Amino acid sequence: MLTLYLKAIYKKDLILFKKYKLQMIITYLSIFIYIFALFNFSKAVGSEDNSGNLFNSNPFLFLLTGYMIIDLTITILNIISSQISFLQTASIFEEIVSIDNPFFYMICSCAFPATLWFLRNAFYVLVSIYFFELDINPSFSNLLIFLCFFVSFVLFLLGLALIAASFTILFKRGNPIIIITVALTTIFSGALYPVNVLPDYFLLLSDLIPTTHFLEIFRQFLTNNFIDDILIKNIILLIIGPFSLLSGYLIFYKSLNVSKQNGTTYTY
Amino acid sequence: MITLEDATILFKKKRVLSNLNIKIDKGDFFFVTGHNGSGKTTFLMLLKGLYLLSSGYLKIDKSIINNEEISLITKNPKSFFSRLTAKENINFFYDLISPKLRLKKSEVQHLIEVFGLDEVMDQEFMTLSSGQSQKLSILRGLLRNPRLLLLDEIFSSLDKSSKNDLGLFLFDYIHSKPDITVLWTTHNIDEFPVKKYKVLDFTNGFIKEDKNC
Repeated sequence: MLTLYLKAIYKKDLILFKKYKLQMIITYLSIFIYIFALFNFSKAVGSEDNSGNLFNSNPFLFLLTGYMIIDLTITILNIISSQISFLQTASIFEEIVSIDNPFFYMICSCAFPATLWFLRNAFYVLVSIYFFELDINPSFSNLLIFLCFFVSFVLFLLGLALIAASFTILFKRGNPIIIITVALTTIFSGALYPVNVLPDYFLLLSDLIPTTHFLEIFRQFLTNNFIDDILIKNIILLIIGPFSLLSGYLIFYKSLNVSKQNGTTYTY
Repeated sequence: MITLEDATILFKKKRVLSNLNIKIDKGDFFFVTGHNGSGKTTFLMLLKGLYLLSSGYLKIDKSIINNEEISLITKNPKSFFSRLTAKENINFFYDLISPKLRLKKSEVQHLIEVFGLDEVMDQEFMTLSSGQSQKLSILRGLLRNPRLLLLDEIFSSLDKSSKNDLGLFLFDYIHSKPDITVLWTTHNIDEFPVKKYKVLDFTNGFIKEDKNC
């Protein structure tokens, strides 16, 4: 009996696995990505070239802020896609698509997980300060500027989340948008190690990722090291948030309409 | 009010609805019949805006009816949040409807009593029977005070007594709203006490027959 079950289940899983080739490719690609991240981390730890860098002067804060931003990226990017997958599986997606504005529904569905992210990370910081001697000195006089960047960064992630959700609507599984974004954040944004340990040809890519700049601003804010021309230097970051959200909105509706035409909207 | 001209739907090159030409007026009552897979449910989902045409033309007169005033009640009664109670589910869907369209809270409570659901409203949805779930699904469909009511084999999981009770309630409800337009898919017209109706009989995505009774 056990052999029969094993054979039937293995065969079924293999058939499904073969139907999601993209997920298979991404799974194996991510091995290289994470090994590369570990390699760079070890390079940064062993390097003597980090003097004056936060990684060298306050490595705990450096890693904690990096972790928080990776956590935020994963949280926001997954919310809408997992929400849609759940609604499709529970046959509720028809009801949600039927409401007056499904786009607002999807955006609003991010509010609770985002609140949980905030509470969880505030707790991380408090525990780190009180139990593990985390040294921070936030620049409260620049709080408003920091919040502008934070809101724009969240809008940027929401736009990507909508694009990832569009992928889920159209192709169901194996969402590369989420995996690629998290991988780029982990490897190239300076979340776990300073970007200067990256090979030169990757520095340009690192510079193109909004997370790299937001992380720099976040760390400057927490260590009271805001540079004077931060607004001018990072103005593009303030523009890219709304632009990303608008792009996500358009792509989300387009994918919904395409799937309505293909008859695949309500299944998972 | 609703006009379809040469309306065709293809899913992955498979023809699901073919060259439909129909005119539906305000207050019409249609029975939509046809064998399994003939396109009845797809037709209702198209009217609700859940599918889009591959070719042809669908026009819904927005001055008479907007999309929020269309209710589709399906034969799948499990489309609720299983870990929420029946009441929490109904409140959630109620809150998503524009306040100017939805029923008053007292009217919702009245429907809950009419449907005999008052005793199960505090139970988690996953503990409800298929019949109770179906009643909850019908209740949800009526929350928005629909002007176009699309009913897709809604009695398929109800026992005879519930079918009679709910049938009587629904026909009273429909008769009390002369402007409401109804399309009701079924395999058996004879079990409904309707005197004046039209029939759309589907076969393989085509309308085989369009008649007045």
